Amino acid sequence: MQELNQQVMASDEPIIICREMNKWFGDFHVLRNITLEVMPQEVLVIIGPSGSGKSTLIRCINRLEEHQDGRIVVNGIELSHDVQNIAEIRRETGMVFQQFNLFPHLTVMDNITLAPMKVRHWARDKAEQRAMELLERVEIPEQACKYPGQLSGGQQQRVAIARALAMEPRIMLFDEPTSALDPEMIKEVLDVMKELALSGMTMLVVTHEMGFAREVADRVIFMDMGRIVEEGPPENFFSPDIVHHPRTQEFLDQIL
Amino acid sequence: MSEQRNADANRTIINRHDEGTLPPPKLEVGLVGWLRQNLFGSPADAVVTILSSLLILVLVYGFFDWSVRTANWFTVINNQRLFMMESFEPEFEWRLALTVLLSALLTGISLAAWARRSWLVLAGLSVTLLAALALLPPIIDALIPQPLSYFTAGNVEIVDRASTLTPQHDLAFIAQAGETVSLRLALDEVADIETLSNLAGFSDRVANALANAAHNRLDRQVITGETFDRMLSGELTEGLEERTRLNIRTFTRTNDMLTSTAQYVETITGRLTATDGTVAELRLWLGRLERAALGLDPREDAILAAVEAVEDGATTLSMTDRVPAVLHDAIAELTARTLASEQLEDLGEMLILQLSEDLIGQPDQSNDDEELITPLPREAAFLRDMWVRLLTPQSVLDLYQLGQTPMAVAIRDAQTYALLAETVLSEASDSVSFDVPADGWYILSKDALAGETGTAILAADGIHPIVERTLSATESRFVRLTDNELVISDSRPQIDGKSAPFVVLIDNQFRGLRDLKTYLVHFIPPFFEQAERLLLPFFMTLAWGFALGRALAHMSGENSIFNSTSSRLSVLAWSTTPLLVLLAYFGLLDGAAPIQGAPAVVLKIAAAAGVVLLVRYIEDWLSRANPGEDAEGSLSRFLMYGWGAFPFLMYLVVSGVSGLSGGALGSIVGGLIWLLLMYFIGLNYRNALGYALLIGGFFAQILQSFVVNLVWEGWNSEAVGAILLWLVIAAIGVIAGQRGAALRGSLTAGMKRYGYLISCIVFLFIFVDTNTLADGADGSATLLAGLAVVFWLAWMFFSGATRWSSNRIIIGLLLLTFLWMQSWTMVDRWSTIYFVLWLTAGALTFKRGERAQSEPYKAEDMQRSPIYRRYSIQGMLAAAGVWLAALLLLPSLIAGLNAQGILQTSPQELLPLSDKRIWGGLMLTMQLTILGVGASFPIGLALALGRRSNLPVVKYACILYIEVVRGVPLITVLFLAVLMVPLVDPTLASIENAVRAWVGITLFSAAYLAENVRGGLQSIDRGQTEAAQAVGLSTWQTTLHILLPQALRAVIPALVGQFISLFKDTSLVFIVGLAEIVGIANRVVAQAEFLGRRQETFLYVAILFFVFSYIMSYISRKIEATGSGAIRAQQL
Ligand SMILES: Nc1ncnc2c1ncn2[C@@H]1O[C@H](COP(=O)(O)OP(=O)(O)O)[C@@H](O)[C@H]1O
Ligand SMILES: [Mg+2]
Repeated sequence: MQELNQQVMASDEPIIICREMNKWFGDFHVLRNITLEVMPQEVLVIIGPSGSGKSTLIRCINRLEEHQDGRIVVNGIELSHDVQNIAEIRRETGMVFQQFNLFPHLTVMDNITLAPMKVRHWARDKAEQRAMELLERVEIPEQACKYPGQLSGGQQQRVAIARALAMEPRIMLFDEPTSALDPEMIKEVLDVMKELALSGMTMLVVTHEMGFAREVADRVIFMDMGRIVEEGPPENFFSPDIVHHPRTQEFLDQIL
Repeated sequence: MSEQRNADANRTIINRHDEGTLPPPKLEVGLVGWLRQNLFGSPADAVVTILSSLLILVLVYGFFDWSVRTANWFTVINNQRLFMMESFEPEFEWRLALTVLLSALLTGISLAAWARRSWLVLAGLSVTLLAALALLPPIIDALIPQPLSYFTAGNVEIVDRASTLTPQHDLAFIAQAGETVSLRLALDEVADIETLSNLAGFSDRVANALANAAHNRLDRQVITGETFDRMLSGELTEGLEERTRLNIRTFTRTNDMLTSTAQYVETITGRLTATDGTVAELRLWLGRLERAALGLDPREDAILAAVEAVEDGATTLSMTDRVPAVLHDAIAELTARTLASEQLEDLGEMLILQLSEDLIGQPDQSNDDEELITPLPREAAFLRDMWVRLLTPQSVLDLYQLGQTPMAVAIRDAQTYALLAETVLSEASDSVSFDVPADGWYILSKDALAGETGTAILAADGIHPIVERTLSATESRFVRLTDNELVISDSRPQIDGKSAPFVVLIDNQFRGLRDLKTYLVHFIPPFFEQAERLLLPFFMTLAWGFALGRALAHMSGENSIFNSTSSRLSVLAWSTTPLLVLLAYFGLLDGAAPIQGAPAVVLKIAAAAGVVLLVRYIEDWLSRANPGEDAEGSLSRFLMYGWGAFPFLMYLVVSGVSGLSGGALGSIVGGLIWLLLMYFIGLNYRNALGYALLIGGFFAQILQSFVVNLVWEGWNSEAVGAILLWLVIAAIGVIAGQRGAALRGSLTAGMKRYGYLISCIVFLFIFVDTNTLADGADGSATLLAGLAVVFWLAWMFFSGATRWSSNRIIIGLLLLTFLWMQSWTMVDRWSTIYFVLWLTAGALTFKRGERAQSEPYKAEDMQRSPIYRRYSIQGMLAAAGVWLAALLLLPSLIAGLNAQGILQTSPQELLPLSDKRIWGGLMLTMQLTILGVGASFPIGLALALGRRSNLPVVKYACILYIEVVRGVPLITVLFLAVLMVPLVDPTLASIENAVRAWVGITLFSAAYLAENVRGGLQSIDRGQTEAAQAVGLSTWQTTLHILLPQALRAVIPALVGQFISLFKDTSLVFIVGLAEIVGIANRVVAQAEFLGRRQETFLYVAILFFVFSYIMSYISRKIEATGSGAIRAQQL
């Protein structure tokens, strides 16, 4: 399976490029000199202690946060103040939040079809057909008519994934998608993510699920205090034989 | 570790005994349980419960007592029309009725959607209500006899307050065939003042004045006597005592008093010569007489000599001795001389003056020295009598010679004045009876016999007061009050060319306290009759709407009636039956109907029960046939459109945009068709045909106005100019859109923003400057229009409208239409335009409906996504659009229909909005509320969004507006709108006050609304915006689809609270001279008949306000529980 992924990852142009990117919250230097390239169909897992800037990093990629220095190029488009560029990048990236952030006043179906219809101007028929396919993919087609408030956490997160996928993005960003879930629901969400990874989606995943990282990731990044401290394939990361950066080692000791 | 666990397992206890389930203890459930838990949960609870029940009991009793015994409910019953619509032209009343019935229909349909499970309650209520309406009045009529009426006859002038009244010679009355009218002298009633003062029942003005006078006299007598007694016993307060002294001094100088001097002298002498007089009394009396005789000019020497003779005889006697017989002759001599005095009156005056001064002390002595000299008991008694008599009016019985003269009475035909019955009443046993041969007016003639003077009160059975209901300046209708408002006549009989007087209702009929029986007879039948007339059609239509709602729900369901002819027919048949029943019912009410009396009542009840059963049947049948949610969904969508379209429709109907000609029918029919259209738009939105219809409608409208302009006005420079201008505007719009699209890629956001601002300013100038081209006179309308176009252009520009998305086009077209209407002046165009529009829309809709028959929804489609969820957002938006359209249309209605409109068509044919008569009573209250809510909602929304804007100009302008308005009381805003605005620009004074008040209320309410909405917006989690942005929605889309729906849902209670307070605040407009309900109430209590009847009037006003406020908050709760709110309700 791993080999297959490596094979598919044949494309040579990186889909996300960050170069010497810096970001501050006021005086607080939250991302420091981040340089990162993500290839199409790559699955990149970002780990690190709380407050290390993981969320900020991936939120910069779809411009939910603005970076102040350096460059970010997503799918060949430079992230700048141009509203048009931002809109295009957002069309190409889907995002899944820790708190799901479904629209509580819309049914599951409407949650999914809203953006394709408004942004991509699909006809309702097409949008709904696509939504049903996605709901089947995340294995909850029977919930289409319910409101988010009627679903369990795991189901809600799967709807959130379907909602992001409905825009047919090339990149998916996951910000701790399982952290707000009960243990038995974590698996159902991870299964969906695994399936997505296998299908060749480019994914940036912030997670503490080391099992998932080991099994699915092509590359793991460890961040600390706004810097990328260590980077490598998962088998190296979780192998006890390798000598890690002391911060990495400390983190891995705590978590494993 | 594992051993430990094993040990635990060994100790496991298994309960194999199954107790089964038991019912809870009886005292913990049911009513008793509820009482115990909620009312008597703790000792403190029990105390509170008991105390508050006592309080409630006291209050309820007090209210009941007042309501039965003293309240005059005719204040409300008689002024109902005033309350409802002030002086609305009766000719146009049907518009109001239609509006009310339409709203009842929509309400019924809504109930079908919302409250369908409570049909039992609904049915129970309706049956009770209808039965009460139908049964109570006849029962009361049958069981309790009508009270007698009292009329005066005779020729004595009667003084009532400032005016004098004479009994009328002829009195017209209304009677029905089969009734008996009988008359007798009311001798028992005038036996003494007490019975006269208690004269109860209906009476003419004169009898009423007599009873009043008797009543007043009794009162005065008692009060005067009491005052005197208290003065003698020294109980009076200083102020009152001073006044009493003055009174006594005054009365001693009154001539009336002096006629009794002789009697006084004789009384005194009689007492003295009798055995019980004492020498002390004799001395006192002699002294006074002497002083009085000395004071006269010339001196009364004869009396003085006689006094001396008596004194001589008494010198040796002690003061406590009885007056001896030897002195009797001398005293008699003195009496004779006194009485023989030529100056008897002067003498008497002086005597009594002395007497009263004895009593109250010398007038010129200072207060400190003053002392009361208690007069002799018999003198005191005499003085008291005199005083009471002088200070109380003369007995009405004597004064007006009541019941002393035989009276000649006759009953005559009202048309020919021919004699029908005649008699002379002189004894209590005399009476005349007359069997009424036919319905109509009769005349009661009554007078004293020739040459006699006197007054009599006649007691009549079968003659009741008549109420004149003014229909218009020239028309009236006459109704008998006590017998269910049976309409008898429209014209009043004439006697000698003058309208005959009739018995009117006078307010203070119920002096003293009334018993329950009288209350029932007087108020219940007219009240219920009125309720029946006002409420019954409403409830019947409600029921019909309910049935229709269920039918509609069924129609759009999976087992659609489109699929089966027989089911289609049966639904139609069932849903029209209530209408037929309704017609039948009112057929029975008609005086000309063949069925009358008890059978009619039975039929009424049967009809009512039939409607209820029918509703029940349809409900049952539909719920069996159509259990799915889809029907409900389509129904709620229908409602959304229906209610959305409603204000507009109502406006069409009430203000009569198209006058009374065929066009009126056109706009109503068209309005109904429009409702249908909206419904089908909802149903078939899928392929956007609905939008196409709307657009087509508006195109048709514009086309129509082109034609109208050219045909009616001919080619003139103005018409051409206007057409050209709008074509230019449209072209500019298109070009701007395309330019926007072309520039879009190369502009930065900042440049776009400035470009947008600059374009706004430029267009504003263009429109301010070119307004003369459009409609010459009214620049403000064009300014508004210009702003609207600028808005549209900016939108097109900003959004880079490469795609002609339907929403943008619709709004654009609405604006264009609005602009177009600015140049219309003639009212007639409206009717034609609407007629064509509605017909076109209706025809297209019908075609679409036909197509729908052949392509029913796929079952799997339905399962996946029930329609109502799929379309709920669109539905909401469409409804909002309709509201917007209605609101955009309203100003142009107002602008288009003033002076010009009246000038060009005769005033009788139309009722322009600027007519004061449109704005009055409950109608005005409702108009201000509905229009105020409708207009302030979008404005408030815009302000709330503006306050969050990134553009500082917009943001601070909004903040400034909101804060300034919130810092000013509504009353000030109203004064500004009504009084100040004309000072700014005199032409604005021509706008009707009510419209200006409406604008004031709207602007005021918008500020509060904005704050409420802002609260809702702030309550939404940031994650929502982020998620919306992450899926690529623009800021506007995020606001429209994500933020606003959630924010509004969150603040529904606050919004409705705001609307309710707006509703109640409309009462303030009465201060600026508008007659809404409170204004009307003030007018009612100023009516001569109901002077000062504030309690009844304002209680009624309070009830009206409460009912509507409660309905609003009920609806708000229902709205809260729709859509995603439904699951919240479930979870709670
Ligand atoms: N909007 C913000 N304003 C100021 N500081 C922020 C903001 N968002 C995050 N931070 C700070 O930036 C740091 C990185 O946050 P985050 O990227 O959420 O970390 P992680 O996701 O790795 O836990 C934290 O110290 C956090 O407190
Ligand atoms: Mg985080």
